[in-house]
Amino acid sequence: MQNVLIILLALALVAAVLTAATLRRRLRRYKEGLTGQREHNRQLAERLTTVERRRSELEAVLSSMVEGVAAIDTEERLISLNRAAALMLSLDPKQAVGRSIQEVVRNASLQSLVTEALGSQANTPATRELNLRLSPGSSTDDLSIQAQAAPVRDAEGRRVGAVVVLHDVTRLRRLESVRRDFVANVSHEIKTPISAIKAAIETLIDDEQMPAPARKNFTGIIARQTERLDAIIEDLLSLTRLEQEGGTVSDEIEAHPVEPVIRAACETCHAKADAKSITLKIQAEPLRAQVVPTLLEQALVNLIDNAIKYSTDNTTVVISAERRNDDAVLTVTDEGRGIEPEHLPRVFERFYRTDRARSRQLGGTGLGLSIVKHIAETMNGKASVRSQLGKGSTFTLVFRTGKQDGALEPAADSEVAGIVRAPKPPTSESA
Amino acid sequence: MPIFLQRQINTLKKMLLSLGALCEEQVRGSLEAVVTRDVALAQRIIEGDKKIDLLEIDIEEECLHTLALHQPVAFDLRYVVAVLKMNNDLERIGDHAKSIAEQAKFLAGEGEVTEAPFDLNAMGRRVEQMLRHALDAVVNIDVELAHEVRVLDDEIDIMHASMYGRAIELMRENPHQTEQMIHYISVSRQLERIADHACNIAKDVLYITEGEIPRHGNIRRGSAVGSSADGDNA
Repeated sequence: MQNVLIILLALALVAAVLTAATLRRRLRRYKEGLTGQREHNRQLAERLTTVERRRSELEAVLSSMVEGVAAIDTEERLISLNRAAALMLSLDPKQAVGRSIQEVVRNASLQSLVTEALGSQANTPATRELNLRLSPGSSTDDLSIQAQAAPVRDAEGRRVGAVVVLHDVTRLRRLESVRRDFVANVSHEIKTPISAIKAAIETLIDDEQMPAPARKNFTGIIARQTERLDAIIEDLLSLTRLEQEGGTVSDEIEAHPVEPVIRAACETCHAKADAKSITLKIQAEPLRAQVVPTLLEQALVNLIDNAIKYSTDNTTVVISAERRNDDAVLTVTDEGRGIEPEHLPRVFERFYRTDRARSRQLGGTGLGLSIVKHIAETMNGKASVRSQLGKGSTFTLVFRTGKQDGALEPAADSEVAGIVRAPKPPTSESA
Repeated sequence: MPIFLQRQINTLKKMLLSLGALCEEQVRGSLEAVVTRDVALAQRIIEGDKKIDLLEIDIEEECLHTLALHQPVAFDLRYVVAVLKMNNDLERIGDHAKSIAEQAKFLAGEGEVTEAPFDLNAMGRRVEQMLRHALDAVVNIDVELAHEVRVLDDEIDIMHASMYGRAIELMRENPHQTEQMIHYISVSRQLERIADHACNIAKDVLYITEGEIPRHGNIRRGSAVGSSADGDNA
């Protein structure tokens, strides 16, 4: 009996010890678990922060890219797009994300590009050039976009979508066409007088008995065409000079009173204005502009000469100078036939002509306005044009005014508003 | 099952919008070809019409497939039926763009450029705008935009009608340009037809949402129309 009791006691003791040990172990594990959990939480938070940071880094990189980037899932839905892409496709990212590409971008080539990339086995991106209209309603602002689309795969190589990269190549295309046009035009402009000279010389050589008046006629043609050729080449050279020396004239830019320059330019153009009974009217505020007087005079002469050329007889050409904020604004306004809106953005291009036959007949080289624009830019100014068909055109040159010190002073030249002799109005086109 | 149907409807929508994008580009291109007298562009537009025809067939088959396999009801049924109809309208728009391109080819062959008897740019832009709005209305099922398209259509009708008088006047003045005038009249007519189709598309959008057929001045107004009687469940 006692034995039994002892055995029971011993058993109870063993049980108690065992239980205590188990409990202790559990407690220890529990404590470890707690620290483990904490550690785990910490790591998780760290990882989240890292992911978050990477994402914002990625977003920062994407949003500051000039190229548009858009991600598309296998269902052709837009997953994300950066700012540039939203701008190019004129989309509101908030509304566009989550919708199918067919819904948000109505451009057949872009749609088929995406479909192709999603279905393609290859990893090489498909490329296509698209023309997108900038904003609905505007008929002129087409963007040339080069788009590339490539499939996106996950770690296991499954296709999970596609990424589209959009490059805006509008400027590039425009430059290309300007260059192409320039080469074509310069060849054409030079070829025309040369053909005339050649024909005249051949006739003179073939016909030795030619009567004197006819001979005089042909030599006259040669003389005129040579002059024309000379004028074209002279203009081309001065353009090249302006381009190459653009930087060096900056030292000569000083605040000069503009009125005497305007007067000098008008003086130069008087004979031509008189011939058409055109009145040149000067309305100049006394002000100074940051210019090189000789260059400004050349630009004004070109503009006034143009104005006279494209004006009908007995009209007025107004040359004005006024101060607008910190700018000196010079304008040459004519009452000529005006320029069609579609030509306006291009009239400053070399050899650009709104009406070939007409302007050649008027004796322009096709470079006058181009020179004006270069001169303005060389002196940190701007040249622009406004025009209304049938009412006339206004060419504007904007320069910075003189430094604060002498800016508004009438300086040596007193204020001017007067009529300088001969009359009249002009319009567009390069002289 | 509804998930499959939803997916199918999404596919239909995407296909229809692809067709819409193609048509929009064809119309724009054909007008540009008339204005710039660009034969190469006109030829591209004429050839591009094949793509539209093929896509039209695909869409029609997809619609029939959806109807047969999923037997949609209410909104979904109206949607599929509307897609079938809009598909048809878009294909016709493609055909009109093609004939405008054919006129462009002819006009480009004429040495002397005559003045069009109507404001080609203005009318073209208006029609493009209508088509754009109609398709936008399809994308968002936008009832207001759809109504707007119907208003624009009246404007196009007026432009088209007033063109005839001017054309006759110009033909009297310059009888040798009669042939060119006839081609211009045809362009104006095609534009007017395109506007009508755009208007039909807008009406289909109204039909999808409202379940009433808004054509012919709503002659049956008040009576239940087809499947719409059971209300929207979409």
